[in-house]
Amino acid sequence: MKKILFFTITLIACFSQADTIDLFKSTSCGCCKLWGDIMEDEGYQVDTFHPQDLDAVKSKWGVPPVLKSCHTAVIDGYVFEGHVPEADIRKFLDNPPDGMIGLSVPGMPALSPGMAPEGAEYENFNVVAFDKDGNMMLFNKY
Amino acid sequence: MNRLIAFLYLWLFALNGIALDLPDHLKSAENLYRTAGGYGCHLCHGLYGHGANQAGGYIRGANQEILKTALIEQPTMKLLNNVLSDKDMELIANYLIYLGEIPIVSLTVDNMAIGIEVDERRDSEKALQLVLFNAGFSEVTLDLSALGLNTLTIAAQATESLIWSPNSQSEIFDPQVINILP
Repeated sequence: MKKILFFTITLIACFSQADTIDLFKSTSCGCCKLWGDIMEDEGYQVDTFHPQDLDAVKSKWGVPPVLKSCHTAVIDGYVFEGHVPEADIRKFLDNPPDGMIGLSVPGMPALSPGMAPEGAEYENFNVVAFDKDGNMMLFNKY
Repeated sequence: MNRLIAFLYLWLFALNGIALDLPDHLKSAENLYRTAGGYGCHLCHGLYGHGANQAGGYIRGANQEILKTALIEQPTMKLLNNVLSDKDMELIANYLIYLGEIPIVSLTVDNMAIGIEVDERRDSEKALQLVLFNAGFSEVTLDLSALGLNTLTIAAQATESLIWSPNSQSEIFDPQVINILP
């Protein structure tokens, strides 16, 4: 019985670790790829898509237009818009705030993951959580 | 003469802030500025080329040559160079040159405080573009009556733009008179 329990727990742990990211980006944007590379280094599997209409993807997943950035990532049914640090994604996925459907780092802050020079501290941007009606709250501040 | 111009502004704008009155030939340029590459120049340079604290910074007034050089030399812009035609670059440059002619005042409302960045040309008697960003997470309403403008409500994280012109209430733009309504 113990063995079965252990096996089940291990199996669950394996599945919850192997997060797959669906990354929607434009072919003419390089910083999105750098963000994807960072996420791969963090152990995620990144599947990249280049849709004709990125805005349609953003609205399908409920990203408020004022919170738009270049790329849109979907993990476990939640949406992550732009240069969101991995630590915030992990924190969000572990315990999604009530009613919130995702996080965004709006625009292109210079010192965010995928934008900042390698090794630079993340600085001067907000991570914003939002619900399906476009209500927002501050999730983290760098 | 200045009074006549001021009068004309008053008559034209009837004491209301109005949106940027783009000439027809620049409307498609603005659209391209906001969609180029599938995401738009504004993500890195602000909705009105004013920088908006983003990575690309202020580019109002940039001509086609400056744009072309940036597309060739800036690592983050190189891929965009492949998808913009010469005609596209000309359009975007025309839009930026047009914006460059208009002095801009950027206001950021954050946590019931207003941060202001003023173009050094604000003392001229020209019309100004006011770009107002609500950095907060709920909507704010601004009392702009001392500037002769209507009350303005800005949604969370949204950016609004108004044109302000010298008028009977104030001949020189003074951002200090703007109040956040409770």
